[in-house]
Amino acid sequence: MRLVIDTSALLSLEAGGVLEIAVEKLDFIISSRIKEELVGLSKNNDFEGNLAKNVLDYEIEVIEPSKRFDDGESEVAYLAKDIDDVEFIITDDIAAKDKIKKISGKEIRFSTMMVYALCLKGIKTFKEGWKIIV
Amino acid sequence: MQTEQLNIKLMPELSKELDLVAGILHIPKTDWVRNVLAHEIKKELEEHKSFVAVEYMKGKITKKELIGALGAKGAEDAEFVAKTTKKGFEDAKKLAKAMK
Repeated sequence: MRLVIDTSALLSLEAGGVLEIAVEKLDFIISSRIKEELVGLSKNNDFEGNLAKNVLDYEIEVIEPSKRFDDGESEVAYLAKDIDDVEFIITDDIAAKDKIKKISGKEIRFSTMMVYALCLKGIKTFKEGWKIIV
Repeated sequence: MQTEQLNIKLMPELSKELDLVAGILHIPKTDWVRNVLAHEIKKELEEHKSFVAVEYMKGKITKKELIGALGAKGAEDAEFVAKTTKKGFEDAKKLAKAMK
């Protein structure tokens, strides 16, 4: 199962300290625009910038969709629509939910799903998972 | 931009410290106060929204109370978060099985 993920969810998982293990355990895909957003953020010397720098160090597959968009959310939605075995789009950007759903026609899930899955797999304890989520 | 005036009285010590901060930053003290106020209001509102949304998810408040606290759009978002989180917890089982 492959998962299309956007910048907001990548940063949330990295902030929770679980992105590296999630990337090892699951196949994530990002679009070219998401990579560009991360590169842009990584230039800032602040909390988000440092998270973005770390995210760029992980091996995440980058796919350029057949149509480019100015914003990452629209582009991941289009990418997810293009790829048959992508069931979910992982985002924490609630404001973009309607746009993502309209373009992709696929289900949205939050990054909390990843944390819970890591707990179910026994990689994190439920206590650790709860701390990450809240 | 249309604005509304808010008059506040400060203790002399705090007023002096405000002058000092504004002087250090080279900005008018009203600008500094406006920025800090905007930031704090946004933060307070976000915390309030999160709290209300969690209470709704726990079933401790009704949808009517949710709408009353967050407005129609905020309530719609909170309901979306509640439903998507619930579905996510169900789908996490599938995801855990798919992990390498």
